[in-house]
Amino acid sequence: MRLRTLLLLAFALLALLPLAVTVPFASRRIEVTFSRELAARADSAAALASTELDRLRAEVEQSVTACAADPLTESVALQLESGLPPAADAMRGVAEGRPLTVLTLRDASGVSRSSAFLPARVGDVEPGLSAVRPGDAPVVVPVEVQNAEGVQLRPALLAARSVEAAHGTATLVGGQVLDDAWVSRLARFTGARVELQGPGLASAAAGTAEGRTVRRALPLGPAELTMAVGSAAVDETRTTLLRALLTAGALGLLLALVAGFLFARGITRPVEALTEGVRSVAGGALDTRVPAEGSGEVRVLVDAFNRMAEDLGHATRALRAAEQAAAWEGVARSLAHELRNPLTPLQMSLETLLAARKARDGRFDVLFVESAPAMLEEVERLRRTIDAFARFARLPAAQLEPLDLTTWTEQALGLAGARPGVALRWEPGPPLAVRADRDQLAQLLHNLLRNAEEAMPSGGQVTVRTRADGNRAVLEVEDTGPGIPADARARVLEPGVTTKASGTGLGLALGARIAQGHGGTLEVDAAPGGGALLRLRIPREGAAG
Amino acid sequence: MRREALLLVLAAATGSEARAAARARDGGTLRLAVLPEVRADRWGETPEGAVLRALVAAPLCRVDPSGRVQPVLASIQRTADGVSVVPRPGARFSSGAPLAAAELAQAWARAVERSPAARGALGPVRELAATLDQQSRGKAAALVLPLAHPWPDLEVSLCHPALAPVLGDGGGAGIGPYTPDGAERGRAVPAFPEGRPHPDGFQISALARRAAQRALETRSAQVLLGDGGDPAAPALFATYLVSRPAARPVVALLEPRLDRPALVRSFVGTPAAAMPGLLPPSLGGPERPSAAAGSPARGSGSALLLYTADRPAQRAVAQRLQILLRDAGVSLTLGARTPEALDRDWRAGQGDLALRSVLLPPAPAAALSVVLDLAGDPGTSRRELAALGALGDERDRAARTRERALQLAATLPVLPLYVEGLRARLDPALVDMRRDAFGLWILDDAWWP
Repeated sequence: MRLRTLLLLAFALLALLPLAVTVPFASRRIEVTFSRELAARADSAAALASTELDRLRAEVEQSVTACAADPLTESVALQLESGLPPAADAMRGVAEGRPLTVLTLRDASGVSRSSAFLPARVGDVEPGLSAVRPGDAPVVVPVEVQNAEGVQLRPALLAARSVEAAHGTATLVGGQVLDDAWVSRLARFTGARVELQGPGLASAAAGTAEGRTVRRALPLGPAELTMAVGSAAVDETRTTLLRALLTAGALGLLLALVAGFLFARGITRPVEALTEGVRSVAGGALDTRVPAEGSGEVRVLVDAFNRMAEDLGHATRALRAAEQAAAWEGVARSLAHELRNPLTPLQMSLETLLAARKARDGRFDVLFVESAPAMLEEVERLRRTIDAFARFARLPAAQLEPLDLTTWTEQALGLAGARPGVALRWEPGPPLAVRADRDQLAQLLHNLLRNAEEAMPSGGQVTVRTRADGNRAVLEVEDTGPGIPADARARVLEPGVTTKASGTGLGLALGARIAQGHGGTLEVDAAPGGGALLRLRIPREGAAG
Repeated sequence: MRREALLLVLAAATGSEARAAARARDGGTLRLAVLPEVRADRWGETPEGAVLRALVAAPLCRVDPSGRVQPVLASIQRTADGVSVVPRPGARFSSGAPLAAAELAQAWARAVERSPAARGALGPVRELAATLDQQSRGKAAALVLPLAHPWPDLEVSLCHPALAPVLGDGGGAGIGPYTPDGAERGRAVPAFPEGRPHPDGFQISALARRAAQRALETRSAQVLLGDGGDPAAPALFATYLVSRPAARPVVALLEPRLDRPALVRSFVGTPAAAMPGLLPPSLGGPERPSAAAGSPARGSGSALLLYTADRPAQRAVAQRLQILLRDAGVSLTLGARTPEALDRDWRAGQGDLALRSVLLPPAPAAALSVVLDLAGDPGTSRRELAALGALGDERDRAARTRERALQLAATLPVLPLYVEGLRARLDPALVDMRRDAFGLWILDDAWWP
């Protein structure tokens, strides 16, 4: 993984870590706080409901007491035993203007005789009212509530008072039905969802409590009043807070990534440039320099690298100059040697002729005739030597073209042939596609064959073979001569170095330059039979690697 | 039958002159205090509404307490196969248009569409709808009603207030001793066939019960309609619980729990009486149930009861039935309707049960004709009426009618509940007041010193 990626991940991790620690903790704290708030709201709603019930009890008690003292109630009560019974709804006039939704006058036997709100029950023992006793505190009992849709049982808060009738005591029962309207009022008053229900009773509910709910129940005789507060508002607040926290975290993460990217780029760019520079220097580009970016240790490192590259360039150039000087020394030595060898006999022949001429020796002509050819031969030798050095110096750049090394070698051998006494053996390998300069390759093969023939003055066998060696094509020329001593193998490819009595020492050096021009090498080795083995390696075209 | 027709003609020719001679004096305004429910009775279907409505829309004829039929707007003459209704010369609408056979036919065609009393009264007429339709387009002077079978009580039936001729559907413009002068007043009509009414006019005040009672006590009003009444007067405004065949089990659950006297005492008020039979006691119907209705049982299910919203007694009874059926396990929904809507909806198939109140004619057979119309079974109605009409003797017919009414009570989907009389109080200073056989006061004869 790249350094820049690692740095980015590190920054992201650093940004996320506080968030991962903070959010659960904050969420838990918010949850605890809001749960307490919810419970407090439910308790408050229950307390308000209790207060409302207390107020209602007092109101019912007061209203029923006032109704019992109403002259109209007394008048209706007095009719109970008369021949003209009161109208079923005679109590309606008593209830008018009073906060009552139940008002029934019962005779001594408990039969409803007049009712303001349920006259249809007159003549019956109205269920539920028997539990209400005169003088007692208001109690909640189930009463019938009639409308066009039918008759329902609803809880009602009722109180009873005795009323003097003609022959005995009648009972006035009144109060308020805890109906939908009352439940709605209570829901508005408390801000909670209010549910009133009980076995066999028509249930009433009002208000809303969404989300998780916290409930408080108040028993009301046969019914139960439930106050529920919902967590919807609290949940919304909590969600908003958490969302804000996460948004801030996400923003922080984004900023951390941007900052990390910029920081990583500041650090890694000089390092990457340094890495690239090292690769270039390793590839031979000694003049490579890394731009001086960054600061601190990275800057010191870059400066050191640049200095090292500069020093290496200087040293390499000095070494190359020394090598060139050494090479030129060898060439000069070889050239001096090659030139000195014919010059000495030439000088001696000319001095002999001059002496004979000066002495007016009669053998002058004979001597001249005998010496002239030898002198010409030495001059010719000088010319060949000079030509060889000229070719070495003028070797042009290789004009590479595709060819099959095996096929080309076979054709070249067919044209070359061998001198008498030397057997040429051809061992073709597989087709070897290479890119090569045909003329230079022919020069190289010629030099190798000539080198082999010269190594075997008394004859022998020269074996030429091609083969593949990985991504290299190999051309080998092996002779059965005395071979090249191991200590001389490293130098025979230098110009002017030869192990033969006669020779310029440029043939193999020229071959080595041709091999180098083809991206390959010329190697000197020993043949298994003791002779010399010269091996050309050049890249194969299309081979991997 | 021929002798009765002759008597009718004679009475029509001489009645008005004879009564006019007995009048002490004319003048003054008759002041009426009416309760809201009476004012709401646009078509005069209740006794109180009928009294009020008769001021401006008199019936075709009157039946006096002795049973004699006296023509008011028309004379009724028997023909070979029915009767011929001949409008009287002075019978003119307030617009001045004379009452002709076509107008009468049109008025009755509208009446039978909204009133079971009108349908019951004209029940024996052969092909009633076609007959009325045909004669409403003619220009005959007399309306001829062919009968499907002999029906001696047709004259009594035709005197029903529900058949008082009116123009249009508004329930207003009829032919009465007074002509409307605004919504609350009326002026005497000098050319009224029965003669000019004693008061010069009338004035109506719609008041709450206590205010109306106070108005009568202080003599601010001379007639109070909607409160009080004479228990001894004929009570013919009968209320029945009619049911669909599918609702008969509900009625069976209700009947054992039904205490009619208590129902009347607590929820209907006086003047009213329990009515255990199809005919009210004033027409010879039973005053007590014939046999125990069985022990109360419990059931289940639900039903819709239609009732008339503007009638407090009916609403109270409907609520009582709801309570009784709840005790029986049945959930009863109450559907309040106007009288016209109730009749229309019930005939259209709405509701499982309905409270139907109808002013019965003061003759047993004619009353049974109305009850049979409520039952909604034309076949039974035709068969029963034909058999009763064949009895020429009035006593035999009445006795046979009572007998059949008792027998039919067990099979007809009509449960009799109670019967009410006219709720009215009069200023004791009013003199020369008389009732007809329906138990309704005739106010155009009223005068006071």
